[in-house]
Amino acid sequence: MKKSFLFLLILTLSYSSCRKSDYELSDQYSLITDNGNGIGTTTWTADKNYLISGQVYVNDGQTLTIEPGTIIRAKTGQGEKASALIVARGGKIIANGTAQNPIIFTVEGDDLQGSVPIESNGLWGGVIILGHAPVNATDNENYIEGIPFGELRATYGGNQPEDNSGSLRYVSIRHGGTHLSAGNEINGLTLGGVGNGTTLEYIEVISNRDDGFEFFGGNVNARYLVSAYNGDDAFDFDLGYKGHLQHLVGIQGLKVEEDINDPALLIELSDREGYPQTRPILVNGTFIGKGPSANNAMLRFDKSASGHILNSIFIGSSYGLQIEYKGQASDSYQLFVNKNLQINNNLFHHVANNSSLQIFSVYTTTGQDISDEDALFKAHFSEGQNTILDPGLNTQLPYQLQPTISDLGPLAPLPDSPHFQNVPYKGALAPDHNWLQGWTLLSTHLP
Amino acid sequence: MQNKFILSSLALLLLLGHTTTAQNQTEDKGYVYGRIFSEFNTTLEGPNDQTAFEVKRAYFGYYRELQDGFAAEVTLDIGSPNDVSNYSLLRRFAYFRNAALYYTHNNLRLEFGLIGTAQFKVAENFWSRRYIYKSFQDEYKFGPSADIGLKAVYTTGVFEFDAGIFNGEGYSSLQNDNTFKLAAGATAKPLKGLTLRLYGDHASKSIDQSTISFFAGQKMGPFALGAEYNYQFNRNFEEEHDRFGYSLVGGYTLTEKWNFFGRYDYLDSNIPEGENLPWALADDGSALIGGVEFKATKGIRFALNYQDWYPAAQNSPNESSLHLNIEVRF
Repeated sequence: MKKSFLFLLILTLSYSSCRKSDYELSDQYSLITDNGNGIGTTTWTADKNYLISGQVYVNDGQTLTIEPGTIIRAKTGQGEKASALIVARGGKIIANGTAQNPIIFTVEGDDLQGSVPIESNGLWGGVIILGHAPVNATDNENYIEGIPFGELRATYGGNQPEDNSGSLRYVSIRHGGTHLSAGNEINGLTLGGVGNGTTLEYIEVISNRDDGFEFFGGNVNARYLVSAYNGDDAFDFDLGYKGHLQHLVGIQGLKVEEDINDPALLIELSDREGYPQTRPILVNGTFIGKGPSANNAMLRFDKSASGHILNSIFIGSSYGLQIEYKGQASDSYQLFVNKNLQINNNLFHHVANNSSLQIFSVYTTTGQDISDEDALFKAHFSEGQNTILDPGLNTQLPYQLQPTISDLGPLAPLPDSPHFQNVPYKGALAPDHNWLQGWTLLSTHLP
Repeated sequence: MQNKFILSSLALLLLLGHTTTAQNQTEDKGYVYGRIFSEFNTTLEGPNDQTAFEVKRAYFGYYRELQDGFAAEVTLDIGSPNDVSNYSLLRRFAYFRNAALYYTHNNLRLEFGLIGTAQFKVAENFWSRRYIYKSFQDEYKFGPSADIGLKAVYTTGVFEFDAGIFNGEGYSSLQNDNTFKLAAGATAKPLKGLTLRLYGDHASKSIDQSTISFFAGQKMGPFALGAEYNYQFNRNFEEEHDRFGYSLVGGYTLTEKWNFFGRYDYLDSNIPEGENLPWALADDGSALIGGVEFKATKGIRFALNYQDWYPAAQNSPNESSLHLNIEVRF
């Protein structure tokens, strides 16, 4: 009996061991995968190298904490094979880097020493955060773009404006963005229905094939955002986004290819029928286009989007700021008439031939004569104390983004919001402080 | 391209139907059917400790025979579709698994629409316990169990030949490119209880993906023993990313109501040139399933069984669990 038991035990042990290969998963990387259960509540530490394989989720109820200085790389891949980190509704990400030790998301093989050229894009997916805040969609819910249809964790939106998806501070997202199919793409940082309990500060998206930042509804506030060398819009707002934004840098970059049928904008605001409607308040931005000969507008309010653009600097584009006239009570033009759309105390240089009569314009696809509407909006340029002035930036490499001219004109009073910092300058950077230095990849292109 | 394909296929089916109108004037008949898979499971070993009741899947469908050799079928798959993540097990989600038009004439059967693929049907029928564990190719995603396309099946003597053209993206994905999957297989039953099948498919993008598989199964008295081997080249259209493996299944019928069953799966991947680890090492491994099954009455089965997954990587933890599976058919 004892011999039989011993034989059975040896057989079991030898059988178990022969089911293992001779290989071990490399310690070089902690491979991050998701079999449907999410990545669990976990902490990623700076002493390890993380490699995301496929689309991995922080599921509802899970929290991902990332220590300062942690490098997260993602496997290459296009379309449905793109790797991406997705924080689902009810999940949280706590990624608080520092200026000295930022948290970096990049592609596998990036040694952070130049092995991946700074302009390379579309090499992996991106970071997606989804929340329970209101969005302009049926039942306040929508399905985020960039994810194959059928994944329920990609649903976002709800009725909790104070929803908290966690915190991102000093985070750099590099070389991502991919197209799944026409109109379905992964942005560098996608925010779907993210609530204002979430903290977003000091975030860079650089060399993403699609948009840098895209906000689908929600009302999360953010400041100190950098969007550089991205293939589509630097900042894109849609589906009822209503947050407050301050200190934004957008640079299109000369080498970035873009869709000639859908030229990239520095800021695109759009929406559709229904509520809530896209209406952000954006102050202290510095936006640099592809230059006065490039065939791009800098900012466009489409359909029923509106908002405030205050105390910002716009440099280098053949077209300026455009709003849409659709002949409807809720179109962007009518929202301008109703003072829901205000563009005040901004500074323009090398935009639309430096002509105050050309920088603001109304466009329409209705075929109607909109000369009167266009004239009214053009008059808002001076009424809103916008000016044409060279602030003394260098918009060629190396970029000098801090104004060297001391008097850039009067400032617009900031809306009453605890999120806004009352600063005595226009643009994203103070003359004496460059918050981009140290932690951004873009800072390698600064003096 | 895709529209032309659909229109021409539909036209072919209608033309065939028209030519046989006078021949077959049969009475319309149809039936509703359903299948429910549920289970209780508890983890014995592994990083994800779980004890839970689950309704893993439910099918609800209607099949109707029309006139002149035509038939139509619609099946809803409610629960976890094959090709979405396990997270969906926690929530209910419905897909059309079948939305098909069938035409049968003598030994030829044509299927069009969202139809079942023949890729692993034979192996799945031999295993016959999908309510416990999907068959090898289904479980490890060598292809979808249903897809949009056209399939023809021709039977002659002991042979059955099948060929089809599919979107290649399964039944929960919409077509998003112009790539099609061509598939062909041959099944033979040369001796009593013996089933043999050879299958291959091919789809072409910038990189070609193809699959070959072979199955042999023998049922003799109370015993059943089957084996299949599968190899997929350039999985997910990625060069030098091959996936392969085999499955051994066995059963012993003790009485009309009781039987024992077992299965062993082995899944592996190649080492791309210039690398030193299998490209899918993190997902390679082997599975063991074994247990006892009780047929309570027609349409109701229970199975108490052990399942494990041993990852191939030395440093990945093993997982094992105990399951009580229930299948209800009507």
